[in-house]
Amino acid sequence: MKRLFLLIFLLLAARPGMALTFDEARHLLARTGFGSPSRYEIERLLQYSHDSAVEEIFGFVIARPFTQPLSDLDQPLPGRAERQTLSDAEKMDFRKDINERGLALKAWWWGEMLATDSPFTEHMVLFWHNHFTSSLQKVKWPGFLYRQNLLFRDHALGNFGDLLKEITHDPAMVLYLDSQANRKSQPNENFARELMELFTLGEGHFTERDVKEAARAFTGWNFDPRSGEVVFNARQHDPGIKQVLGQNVRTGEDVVRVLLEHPQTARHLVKKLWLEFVSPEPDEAELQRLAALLRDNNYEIRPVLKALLTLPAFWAAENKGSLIKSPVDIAVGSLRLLGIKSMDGKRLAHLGKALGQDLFDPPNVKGWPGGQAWITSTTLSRREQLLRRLARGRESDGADPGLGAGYNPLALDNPSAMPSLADLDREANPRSVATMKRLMLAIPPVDPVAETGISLRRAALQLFLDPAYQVK
Amino acid sequence: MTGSFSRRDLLALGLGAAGTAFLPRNGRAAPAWDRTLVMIELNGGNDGLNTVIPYNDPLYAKLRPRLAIPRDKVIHLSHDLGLHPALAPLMPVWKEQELSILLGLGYPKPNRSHFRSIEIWETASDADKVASEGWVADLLPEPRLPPAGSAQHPAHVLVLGNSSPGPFEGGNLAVVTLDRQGLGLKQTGMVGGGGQKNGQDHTKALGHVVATRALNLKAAHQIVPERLAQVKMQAGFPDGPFGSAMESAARLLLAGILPPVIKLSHGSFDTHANQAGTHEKLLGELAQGLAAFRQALLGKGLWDRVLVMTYSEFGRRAQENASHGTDHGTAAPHLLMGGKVRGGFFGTQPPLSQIADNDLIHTADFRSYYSMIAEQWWHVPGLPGFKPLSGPLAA
Repeated sequence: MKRLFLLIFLLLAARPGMALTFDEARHLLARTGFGSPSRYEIERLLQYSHDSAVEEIFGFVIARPFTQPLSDLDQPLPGRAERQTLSDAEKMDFRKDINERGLALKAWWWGEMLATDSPFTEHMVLFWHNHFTSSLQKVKWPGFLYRQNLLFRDHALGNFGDLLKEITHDPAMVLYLDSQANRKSQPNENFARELMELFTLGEGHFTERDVKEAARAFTGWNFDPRSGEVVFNARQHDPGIKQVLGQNVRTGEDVVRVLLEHPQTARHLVKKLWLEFVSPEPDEAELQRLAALLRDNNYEIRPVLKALLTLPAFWAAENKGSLIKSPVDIAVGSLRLLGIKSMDGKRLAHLGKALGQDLFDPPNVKGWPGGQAWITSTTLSRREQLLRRLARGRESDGADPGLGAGYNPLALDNPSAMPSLADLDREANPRSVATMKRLMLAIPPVDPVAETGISLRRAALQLFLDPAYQVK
Repeated sequence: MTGSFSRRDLLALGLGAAGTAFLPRNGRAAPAWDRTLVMIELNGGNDGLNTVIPYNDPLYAKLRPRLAIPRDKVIHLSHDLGLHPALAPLMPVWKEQELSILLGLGYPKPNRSHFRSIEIWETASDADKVASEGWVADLLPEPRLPPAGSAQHPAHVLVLGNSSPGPFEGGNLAVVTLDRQGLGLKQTGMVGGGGQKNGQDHTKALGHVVATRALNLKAAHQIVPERLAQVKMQAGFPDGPFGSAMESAARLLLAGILPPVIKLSHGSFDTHANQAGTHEKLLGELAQGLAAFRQALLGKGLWDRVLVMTYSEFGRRAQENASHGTDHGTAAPHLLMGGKVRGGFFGTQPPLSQIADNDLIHTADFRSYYSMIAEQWWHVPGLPGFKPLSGPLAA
C-alpha cells in the first residue's frame, strides 16, 4: 500500500515533465487565448509537456499583425492650418472620415483576433491596452491608436521598462493624458498621476507632491501636430531639480528610472498579471517571489510569465473556472471554437461594445475593471443572445458556414471526420454530449444537460447557455 | 462601523430608527414602499466652482483668468452665489423652491484619484480606510424593502446604462442593470430556474453568473418592453446618453415601476483641457434632463414620491491650469430635487480666501448628506457619527 502511495506521489510530482492531458491543454489555451480554444488547437498541444507547451505558445508570439488595416489608417493628421482652409461641408466630411477610420480601426483589431494563429499575442496586446489605456474618444485620430497598438505588439512579451519609456513619448498617450498641455509655466499633472497610480506603483504609494514634481519633470514633451510626432521642446521644459519619491530628478526619464527602481512597480505589475491569468485571489508569498523574479530579470516579461503559467496555482483544480470570460473571450473565443475565422469586423466591434468592451475606447484611464463587473443583468442577457445566434449559425453574414465548414471543432465521434451542417442536426448521444462538455466548459455544467432525444446543435446550445460557459 | 452592532443588527432589533415610516410598529406590517431615490453620478469630477459660482468674490476671477463665467452671464440666485448659464432650465424648479443646493461637500484628507475617490463616495468610508460595502447596501434595510420581482418592484435598484453599481454592492439588494432605453432584459428561455447545484462548489465567479441569471429571470417577467412603450412621453429630454437615460427613468416610473433606487450617470466631467465648451454642454444636458424629468412626473402626481440627488468623486482645482482646464480637486456643491424638497442654499460655500494648495476645503461631510437621505427619506438610521444635514428635507 505504501508503495502504491509512493508511486502515485512520484507520478504527480513528475507531472510537469509529462505530456498534457486534454483538460490541461484546454486550460492553458483558454487562459492564454480567448477562453474557449478549438479542438484543433487543443489536440495540437497534446504532445508537449507543461513547460514546452508554454514555450510553444510563447514561440508563436509575433510582432507583426496577420491582417492589414485600411491602408490610409496610418496617414498623418492634416495640420491645423490645412484644416482651417476647409469649407463647412469639407469639415463635416473630415469628421465623418475620422469616424469611419475609427470604426475601421476597431474592426481591424477584432478581425485580427479572430484570424490570428497566436491568440496569446492578442491577449498580451489587449493586456497592455488595458494597462496603458488610451481612448479614441479623446485622442480622436485613429492612426495614433493604431501606432500604439503596434507598439504593444513590439513589446508584447518584451521588456516592461522599455515599454514604459516608449509609452511616455507615444502620441496617443500624450494626447490622452494631456501631456500635450504640460508646460513649464503651468504643469498638467494628469499623466504624472496615472503613471504612478495605474502604470507603475499603484494607489497609496506616492504623495500629491510626487505627482506635482513628476509633472514638472515631464514638461516639454509635447505633441507636434505638424510632424505627428512627440518632440522635446526645451522652452517648455522646467529644468529645475524636482523631488520624486525622495530622489532628486530633472527629466521624465529620471522619473521613469526612479519608478522602475521602486520595488512596488514590479509588485503592482505581477499582481495584475496574476489576476489576468491565474485567479482573482493572488497568493502574497508567490507575488513577492514573482516580483523579485521580474526585477532580477530587469523587467523582462517572458521569464515571469513563464513562471506564472507553470505555478501549481495556475493548474490548481480550485482555480479552474475562477475567472469570468471577457466580452472578447465570449465573442472571439466562441467564433473560433466554432471554426469561424473571418467575419465582418464592424459587426464584431459592435457586438463587443454591446457586451461592454469597446476596444480602443476603454471606459476610463483605469481600463475595463473586468472580473465580476463584466457580468451585469444586461450584459449577461446580451451574451446569451449572441451565443444563441452563434449556435444557430446566425452570426456569419447571414450565411451559415459556421458549424459546418471545414474542420469542425465539434466533430464529436470521429475527430478526423468533417461533418456537414446536417451532421449537427443528427441526434445526440451520451458520448457525444460528454465530448462536447469537455471541449466547451472549464467546469461541469450548472444545469442538467439532456443527452438524448435532442440534436447535437441543441446540445451545443444548452452548453453555450449554461452559466459554466461564462467562466474559464 | 464602530461597536459590535452593525446598523443592520440594530434595525433588526427595532432600535435606533430616527423615523419610522417604513418600520413596522408593534408587529404591524410596514406600509407599502412608495418612494424612489434617483441617483445621478457626475462622472469624472464636476467643476463645482463653475457650477455654483461665487461671482461676487474677486478671487474667483483671479483664480480663473480664462475660465471664469463673466459676472453678467451668471444666473444670480443670491447676493454671493449664482448658477452657470447652462443651468437656466432649472430656474422654474428653483422658483418653485424644489431645488436645494448643498454647498461644500467633501471629506477630510481628500484623495485625488478618480477611482479611489469615487470608491470613498460609494462606500462612505474614511479616506484612509477601504470598505467593501456600498453605502446604500449598508443603510437601506433590505429586510424591510418590498420583495424584488413584483410588477412594481422588479428589483431594489435599477441601474441605467453603463453606470457603476458601487453604492449597492456587498449587501443583499437586488440590483438589475438595464440599458439606457430601460430595456435589455430578455427572457432567458430555454434553461429554466436559478441554477441547480451540480455537486461541485461554485467558484465565486460562477456564483455571480448564476445569481445574475436568476435575477434576470425574475425581473424579465416584469419589465417588458410593451409596458414601457405604452407610456406616453412628452418631448424635452436632451439628446445623448444622459437625456435618454433620464427619459427611461421617467418612463419606468410612469409605467408604475417604482424601485427604491434608480441610478444613472452623466459625463465625463474630467475636464483637464479646454473645459469651457465641454462643461457648458454637460451642464446644459443635466439641467434639461432634470427639468424634463420633473415635468413628466408632475403630470402624473409622482414628483412628490421622487428624490433626485447628484454626486461626483470630487470637485476640481480652484486654480485653473494652463490647458484651459482644471485638475482634480476636492469639495463641490451638489443638487437635490423633488416635490418634497425645501429649496434654497444649504451649508457654507468654501471661501476662496482659505484654499489649501489651490484646493477648496470642504465645509460639510458628504456622509452627512447620506445620513440625511437615510433618516429623512428612508426613515432609517444614518451613518454613525455623521449628523444629517438639516434643512433640505423635512425631518
